[in-house]
Amino acid sequence: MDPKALLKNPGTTPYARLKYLRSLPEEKLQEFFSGLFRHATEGREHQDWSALDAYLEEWERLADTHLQEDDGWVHYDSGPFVPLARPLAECRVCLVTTGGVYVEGQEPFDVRGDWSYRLIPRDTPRERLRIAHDKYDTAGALEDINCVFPYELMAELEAARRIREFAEIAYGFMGYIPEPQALIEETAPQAARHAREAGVEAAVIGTT
Amino acid sequence: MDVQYYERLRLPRSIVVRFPYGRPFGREHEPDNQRVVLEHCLRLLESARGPTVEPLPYRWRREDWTAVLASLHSR
Repeated sequence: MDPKALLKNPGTTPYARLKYLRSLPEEKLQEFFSGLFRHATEGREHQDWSALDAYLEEWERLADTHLQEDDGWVHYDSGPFVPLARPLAECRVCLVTTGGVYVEGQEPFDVRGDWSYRLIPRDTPRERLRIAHDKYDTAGALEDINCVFPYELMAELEAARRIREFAEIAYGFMGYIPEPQALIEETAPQAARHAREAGVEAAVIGTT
Repeated sequence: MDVQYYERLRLPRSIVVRFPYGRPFGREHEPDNQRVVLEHCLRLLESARGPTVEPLPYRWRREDWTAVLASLHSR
């Protein structure tokens, strides 16, 4: 029996953190499952699931920590920082999403890994927006795209003069990119250049 | 993902929320929830003087978002 196969799940919210248990080594997974069995059995006996609840929480934390120590994840010792030159009421601000959002008629993202991006005009009607991404729970975003890509609210902020302008074009990426080199060297700088040439002075990026 | 994760990425500015994955700006059909998060993003854009990671204190399901937004706007 493959313990990783036992962790296959529907990818919905209740599994959002537990799914990272997959990153643990096999002997840790066996430890997890034997504890799970024990807590479930004792929970049933006493009709008290609080210990099981705490147990799952603890393992979620452990999986998170392990994930962050995994050298496969990109991390940096230093990074760029540019202070905002003037108040946002005088700035053109763009929106970027990694939620796999694209416009009907454009090529959908390849959910197996895709470093390309889509240009999303701000006046795109909601019903023409699509999502191609299977590594997060898209149920909320499919109901209301603003929870990953708040483009209607950005337009509102422009109307209220909180920002000078919501840029004409937003940038849609699909965040599952197991080999990010082409993103780092090619597509991300390309999107940034596009935004700069469009006079964008600040960006809000929603990650999923 | 927690604050340390974002610190390690050395991003210019990050807002960290404790919402289920897939809802970074908040719950669907809760525009005030989304407005609150977006307003925090804008404020961090304006206020940060160096790389900053800001965790938001809000709890999923337990906030009166209209009240939170009103209090944020009065600050």
